[in-house]
Amino acid sequence: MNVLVEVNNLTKVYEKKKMALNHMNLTIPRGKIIGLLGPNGSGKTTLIKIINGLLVPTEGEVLVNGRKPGPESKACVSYLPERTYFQNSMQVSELINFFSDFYADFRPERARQMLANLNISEDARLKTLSKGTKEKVQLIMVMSREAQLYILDEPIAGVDPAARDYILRTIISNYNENATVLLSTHLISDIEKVLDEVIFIRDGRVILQDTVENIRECKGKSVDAYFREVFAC
Amino acid sequence: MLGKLLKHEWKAVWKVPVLLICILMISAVVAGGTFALPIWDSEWVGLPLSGMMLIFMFYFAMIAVVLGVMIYFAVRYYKNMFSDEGYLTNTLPVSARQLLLNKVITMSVWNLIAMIAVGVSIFVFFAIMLFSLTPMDSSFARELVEAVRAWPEALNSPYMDGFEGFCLGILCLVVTGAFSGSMMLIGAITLGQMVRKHRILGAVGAYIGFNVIVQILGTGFFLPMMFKILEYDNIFSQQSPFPILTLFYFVVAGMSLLLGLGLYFMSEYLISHKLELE
Amino acid sequence: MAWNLNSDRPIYAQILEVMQLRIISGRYGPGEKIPSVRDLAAEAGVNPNTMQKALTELERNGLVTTQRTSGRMVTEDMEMIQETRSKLAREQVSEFIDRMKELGFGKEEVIELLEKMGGEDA
Repeated sequence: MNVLVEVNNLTKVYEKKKMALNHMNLTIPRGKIIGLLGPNGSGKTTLIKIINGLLVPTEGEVLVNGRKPGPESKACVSYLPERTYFQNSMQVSELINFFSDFYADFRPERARQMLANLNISEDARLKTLSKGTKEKVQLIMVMSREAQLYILDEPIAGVDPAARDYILRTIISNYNENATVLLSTHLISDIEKVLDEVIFIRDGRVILQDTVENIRECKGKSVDAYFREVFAC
Repeated sequence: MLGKLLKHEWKAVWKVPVLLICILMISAVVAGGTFALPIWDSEWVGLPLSGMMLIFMFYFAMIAVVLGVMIYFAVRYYKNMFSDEGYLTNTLPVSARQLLLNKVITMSVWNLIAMIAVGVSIFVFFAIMLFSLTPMDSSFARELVEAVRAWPEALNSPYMDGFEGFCLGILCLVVTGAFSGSMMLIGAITLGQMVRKHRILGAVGAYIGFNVIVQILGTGFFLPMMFKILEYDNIFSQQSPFPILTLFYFVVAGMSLLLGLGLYFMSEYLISHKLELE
Repeated sequence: MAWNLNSDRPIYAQILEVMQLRIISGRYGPGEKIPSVRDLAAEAGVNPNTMQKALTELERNGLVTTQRTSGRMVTEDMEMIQETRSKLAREQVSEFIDRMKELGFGKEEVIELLEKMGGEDA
């Protein structure tokens, strides 16, 4: 079974009658680093939330390993949302225990190593950490799992170049090799070199899914340049 | 997984209610202790007034514990499930049922503990007051011992018929009350989520709505029940009042349980089928 | 020899160049083990599959060999390293000469210039 995620006829209409996803169809293979690219409001986050079971679709379905989002899918998907989701009163060490207890694929020693590399004390309470540090802790937690699918929602939006390099390095050196990494972003030039494939979405539909190599070869330009051309307004 | 959820929930929440209960106990001791001080006959009005203030403080502390625990857990439920923290809570590999059971059980147990703490604090207050007011000779202590000794005998009198059942009734009422009280909050907050743009307002509205419905249903049931009890007219009779009260308590406990269960299944349905995190 | 990769040319070819340079310059000495695909990919900020492809190419042309147990090593064949070195040098020089031609320099002029500048440097 080489298909990891299947999106069938997926539609999401929000209350104000705004169609965030419009009968979207998509398959995501295993073992790839895939960029989910599209301008703001194109439906990236909506799709990601549905895969993670945080939103219920209006129509259609998402299957992860052939199953709808639920406890089984959540056990093999590691998700980095745009928000920091910690309970601020927790200590870093408690967070590690929390993840170890709930995720069978969590590797606490790996998390400890990465925290030590950043000189983050395990005794520190999360509320004492800066926003940037908290985001790094969250990334470390997410990447310390041996998941089948990593979903990273805008991991590099609004960070400085040093932090961006740290984030990309952390992703590359920690993701499980048979796993797929789905990276959503609207900043393509920064991550283009990391990607195997890209999915362009606009207005809740997939308008292109191809390998980076193919795009470069067929269009004779970088994915970033091609993206600008496709989404020119 | 439910066990793990409960473990982490317990670790995260115990501090606040324990702090509230400590404050309650201290204020019970202080308020009771005022009776040992020679302030009540003071010429200056300030002293008896401050004594009364301390007793009022105890009164407020009782309210604060019950209310405080409710509000603390309501806010925690909202934050944990539907705010940013919900992104972690709702992506744990657990079912909606496990998530919800975890919350209900923890909240109910702490509501119970808060109620018990209030009971204990009242006992502490009166015990200290009694010991402070009675002269320090041995007669009071002797009377107390005698009263305790006479207790089993008193239970045998016909007036005390069905007392055990009555106690059981009260226990059921308290337990189901803690459950349905928690479920009213959880149900209201969960239902409030369906009002996408005004989630907190929706929760408050739903909570008020639930209370109104419960009041109406309750009055519809309690009024005839009250008449029945009054009709019973046992005040001067030698008959025990307990069986009828027991029946009454069990019926109310049963209704409370049904209400709690109804709200539980509604909440579980909403979380598993209608979840929509911002 | 840092990873100054730009997105105008195929990443894979650029990685190949950097790796060749690192071997020629002795950063990865003959017979020495080179870092894992994942570490190199993380260092360069590129897709591990791309890095893998570049290393496979290095293997194919013999600069790198694979031991089943101990990963990839730089070849101990000094001759081959020298050969790669002079090949790269020839490429650079011919590119340079082409550009000088565009500027209108003849062969003698170029040599004269080189000698003069070499003298300045020394």
